[in-house]
Amino acid sequence: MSNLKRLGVVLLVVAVAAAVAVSFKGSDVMDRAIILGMGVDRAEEGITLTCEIVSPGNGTEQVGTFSKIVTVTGRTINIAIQNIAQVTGKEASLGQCVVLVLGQDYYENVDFSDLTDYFINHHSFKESAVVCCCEGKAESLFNKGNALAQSMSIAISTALLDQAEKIAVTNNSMLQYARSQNELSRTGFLNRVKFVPSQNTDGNLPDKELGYIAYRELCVFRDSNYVTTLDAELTAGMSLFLPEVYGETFVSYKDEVTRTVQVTNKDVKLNPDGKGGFDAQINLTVRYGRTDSEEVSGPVTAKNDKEISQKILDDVAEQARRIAENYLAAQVKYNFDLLKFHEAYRRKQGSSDALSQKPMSEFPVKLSVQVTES
Amino acid sequence: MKNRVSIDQLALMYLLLVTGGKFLTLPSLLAGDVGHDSWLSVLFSFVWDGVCLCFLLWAIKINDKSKLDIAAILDKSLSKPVSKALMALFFVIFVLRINILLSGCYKMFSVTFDVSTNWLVYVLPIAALAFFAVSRGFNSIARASQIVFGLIVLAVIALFVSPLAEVDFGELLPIGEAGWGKILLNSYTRSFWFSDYIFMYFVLDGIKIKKHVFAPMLVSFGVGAALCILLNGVFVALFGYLAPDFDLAMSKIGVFSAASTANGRWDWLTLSVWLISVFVKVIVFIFCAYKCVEKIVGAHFVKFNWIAAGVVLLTLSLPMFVSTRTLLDTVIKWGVIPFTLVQYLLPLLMPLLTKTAQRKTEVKSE
Repeated sequence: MSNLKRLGVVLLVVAVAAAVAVSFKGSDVMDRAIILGMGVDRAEEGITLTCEIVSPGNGTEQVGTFSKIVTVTGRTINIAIQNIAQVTGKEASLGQCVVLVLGQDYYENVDFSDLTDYFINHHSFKESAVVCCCEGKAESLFNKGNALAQSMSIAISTALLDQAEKIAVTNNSMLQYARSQNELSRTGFLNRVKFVPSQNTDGNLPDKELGYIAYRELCVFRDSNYVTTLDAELTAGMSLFLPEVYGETFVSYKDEVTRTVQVTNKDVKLNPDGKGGFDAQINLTVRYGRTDSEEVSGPVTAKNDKEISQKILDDVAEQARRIAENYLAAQVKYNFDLLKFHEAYRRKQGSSDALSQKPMSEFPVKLSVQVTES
Repeated sequence: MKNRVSIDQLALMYLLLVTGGKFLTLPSLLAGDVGHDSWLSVLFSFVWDGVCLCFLLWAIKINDKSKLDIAAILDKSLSKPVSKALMALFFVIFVLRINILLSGCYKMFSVTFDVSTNWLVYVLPIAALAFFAVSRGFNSIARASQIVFGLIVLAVIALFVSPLAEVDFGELLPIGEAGWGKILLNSYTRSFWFSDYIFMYFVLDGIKIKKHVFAPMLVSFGVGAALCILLNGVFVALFGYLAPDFDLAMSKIGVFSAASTANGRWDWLTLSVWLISVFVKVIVFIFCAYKCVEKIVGAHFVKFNWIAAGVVLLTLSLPMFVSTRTLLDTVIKWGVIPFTLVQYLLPLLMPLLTKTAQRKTEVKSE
């Protein structure tokens, strides 16, 4: 091949490569408003959407350090997200969104199945993102970021994903919630968070609002409609049945001094009894709540000298039984199935309408609680 | 010889082909058909694939001495017209599979990565790469597969590990709830996505056998099949009633990566690497489609058959005229019956056909 031909081939390849490259229409990261978290509130017509956004390339902003809160309205979630572009001048990007918060007026009064459908079918939004409810308006919650001295979205998602299971609070993702509203009993839960103000002792900034996020409550939904809110004790009662959730704390006065006992490990057996009900065996391993770090426990752990008296262990077992029974009574009263009783029977018998419609009162539970020292 | 390939190279490539492409639209289709029993449907498909693969490997072993190509074997054992008809059937299968795979990737680019372009601009660079590989010979494709193999395996592991920790396999109970007859029938009606060994027909004359034929190939097949069954199980267990609606399984499974919450979308990076295996599969199938046309119309060029390349290139425009859904509901739905001929019947007959062709070749040479 002559040099001229070689040059021609190279030029042709470069021209084709350039033509192909410009034909791929991607979105530059500079043109995007990256949403970290979203809050949805009820508006007169449609919804109010509050977003915590980081916008790369915005002069003084540093990605990951500073974010801003943007609030828009729209008749539907789709329109509201489109409206973000009007406010920010950038296309909204949901790929990094870690949390979706529903305001109280919204989740208590609106059937939000369309919202769930939108996010579960959205190709960028992660099904593993945290969805939760909040006390009051989601917009107000997102505007409390300064009081936490960190991103509200990251604070909520970190609390619910990393910390909740260690303090006897279970959590839920968008996927688990969406499935719960469409399968078998059609009941599920979302965590409920609220901002709790705390006292400011900083002399330099005496007017600065400070506080923390509390997340020891759950909201129960059926068919995307609000049913009830489980308070901290009922939430702890539910957590007793979940082996992956631990950290329950009990206070006993049986030794004439106040003793705090924490659950460090648990073994839960919740099996159908073959007669339409369940056998529930909860075995808790506890220790005194004295150290910062969690104690190791399990069958291959070195044995420690026992410290907790049998009286305290019996007292803790009694307290645990009481809160577990309170939870079981609540699930019968409001007819919700968060412990997947229907699912346990589906695995044995297969799906059927009769099973899906079976009320919780027809699942009697024989409960036994044992407490041992770690 | 530029189409020569060792049995070890073939085994690695086969593993990529078995897993590449089965994690796009197939899991959602199966979930729509038989729900949480879709993994059983995949299992049955692989059992039948395993039987056929053994027969095909037996034929490869028989063919080691004579090194006849597929056209020669079929010409001599079944006559030329039958041979050409089978080549035409192969061509249709390859073209459909190429287009279904490319359509899946096209959708993934546009909806998952938010990169939009038109079909021609998307397909032309892939076709250029494929035809360059074809002109260099099958050996170059096999060597390229060897190079990317490790990376792809790491990407698949990275995508799988996190969902495995999330999944509750109890969701797959009770086993066989959809009905065993329905599951078996489904494994047949969705057979279009299986029998990846069919590419081996077109390298029969170039396979170098050192010692073992069965062991490396069956290990690759076993690993690939296990991965696909596992993925289907994980997919339906994770997504439940939503599984039929999620037509890009791999991009959905990746979101459970723990790192994707803490450190951004790591899953998009691993997903991009995994997509290389789909493109390897597309290139191998383009090679096979090219060979089919070459066998049907005859070789007209010494180095590169421009007619065959032109015909294959034209067929890549199919999704511009017919949607993937229409293809699935019409051509592919009814095509499984004739496709059975080359996917499942021909491999069983291959040892016999190869022996017959060898005998006729020997008689002729005498």
